[in-house]
Amino acid sequence: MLVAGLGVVVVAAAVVALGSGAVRIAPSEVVAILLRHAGLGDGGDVGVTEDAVLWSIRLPRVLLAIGVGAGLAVAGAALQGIFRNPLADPQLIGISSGAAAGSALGVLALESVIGGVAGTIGAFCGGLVAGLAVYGLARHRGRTEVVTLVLAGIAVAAVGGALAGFLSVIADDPRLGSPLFYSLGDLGVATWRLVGLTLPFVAVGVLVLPRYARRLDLILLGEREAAHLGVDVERLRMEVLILVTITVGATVAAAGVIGFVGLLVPHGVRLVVGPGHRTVLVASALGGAVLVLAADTVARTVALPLEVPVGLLTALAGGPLFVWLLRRTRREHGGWG
Amino acid sequence: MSRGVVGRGLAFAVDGRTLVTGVDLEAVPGEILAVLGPNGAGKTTLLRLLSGEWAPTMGSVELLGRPLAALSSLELARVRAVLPQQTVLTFAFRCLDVVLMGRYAALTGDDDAVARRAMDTTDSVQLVDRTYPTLSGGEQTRVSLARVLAQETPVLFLDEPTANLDLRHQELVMRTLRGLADAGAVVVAVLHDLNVAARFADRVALLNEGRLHTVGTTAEVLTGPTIEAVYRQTVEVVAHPVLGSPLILPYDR
Repeated sequence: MLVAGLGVVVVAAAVVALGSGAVRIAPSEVVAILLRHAGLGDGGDVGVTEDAVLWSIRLPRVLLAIGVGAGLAVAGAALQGIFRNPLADPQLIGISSGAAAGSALGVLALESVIGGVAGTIGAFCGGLVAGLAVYGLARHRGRTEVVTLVLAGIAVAAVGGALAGFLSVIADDPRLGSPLFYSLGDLGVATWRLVGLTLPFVAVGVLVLPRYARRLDLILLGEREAAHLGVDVERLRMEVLILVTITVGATVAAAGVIGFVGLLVPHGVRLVVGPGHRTVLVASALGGAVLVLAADTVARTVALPLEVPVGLLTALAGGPLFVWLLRRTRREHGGWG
Repeated sequence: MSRGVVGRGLAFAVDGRTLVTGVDLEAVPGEILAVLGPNGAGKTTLLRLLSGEWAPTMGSVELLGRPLAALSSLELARVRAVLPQQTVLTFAFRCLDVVLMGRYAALTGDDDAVARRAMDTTDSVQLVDRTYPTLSGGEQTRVSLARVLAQETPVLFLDEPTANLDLRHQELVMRTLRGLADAGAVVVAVLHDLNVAARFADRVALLNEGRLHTVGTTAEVLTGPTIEAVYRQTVEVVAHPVLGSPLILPYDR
């Protein structure tokens, strides 16, 4: 039910987003233009400007927002599962910042050799190094210490974020994002090329992570219990961490570090559908897509012709919403202890 | 070749501290083997070695004739189930979902029916729709035991299965384990209550300071001199007035 409803909301939000901006396009015209490009219908009497704005500028941006939101939220839900920690989030535990630093390094060192995918590959490597470092620091005598995980994440996130900002300032290279890009994100760089470089990697996470749903449920019982029930816990963690890093790395290389999505969306979803990962992962992907798409649409229209960094909006809306979620969770089953 | 659980020369040390050493032990199908001993004697450690949770520093374990080290996590979960002392669950799963988790490794069978039957056996079927974190300690134990039963394994390891239970549920759980053993299962249970062990176990392995002090039938091991030597507490052992099994009564002179 929730999944179908969220699917409808994603499509509706996309139509609204495609019509919003300096050039306003009515929903019916949006549909007509999309149908014409799909080879269905002649598009009616829609202007050339509207067509160009929608097809070349807005659609890539909307698709990127959907991909980034879905990827971040599903990654957050999966991380919270493997670490049995409601605070695990790609940004909080350092994967996003590691990916940002890796992406900047990748662009500087390799883009002239292997092309645009260098940033994505660098982001994946940086994110993986950060994720493994945090996991290694939180590991003690075969247990993952929940508090150490978060503290180590804060440290690694600080180093990664600083390194990305440092590279951005020092290298002064137009191919790199600004320090703001690496801390608050920006979808304004969206092109069809970037969509093509990003969505396939995000799709890997969004489509493959739900296959781990049952094992993620089991690990919530406890590492020992999951092992008793037949789960190879270390292997599960490694595989999920790699999938998460592929997904998050691709979003960071494309749109910088957008916070709060991976934390907020899965919590909201769990409140509605319970903790079972089969639903949580899919609903989180859709919810994340809606959140980032809505935030980005507001970010680029609220102060025309200026644009607000999208990460500011996810934080501005996400912070209070998260506090409300925490209070509700505590009321319903005693908080997280 | 044994069809049960065999530990040979088991030792386990961590940070230079020896928790268990020189343990040779066998449990066979059809019996409840109670693991007893004072606090810190190594009971839980021994259970973890036998169930494959920890690899022994020395020695080896065989389950149903196969070396434990050669079994994958999934194969292991089809051979043995484990009830830990307490399962802490922060996410609000329904109890039925918790019990269904026991079916992860299962190859066949109607998971839902098996889970409900297991909950019926442990008198927890009325809890199916409650969320696990909201249950009392005793209710959680019964749901966790249902999860263990739902695994439908020929070998069961239980760490203090009666610790949180009231009198009626303690009896219910022990009768359930007795029934499983009578049907051919190997049941190895760490117990803290000597009288529960005396009534339900076939044999007792008595640990002291990481070593196997004595192993034998309940009547052989649960004698006044043996208990006093290991627990350093004076006891009087009498025959149960109805059942005739040993009844251990601690006292101070």
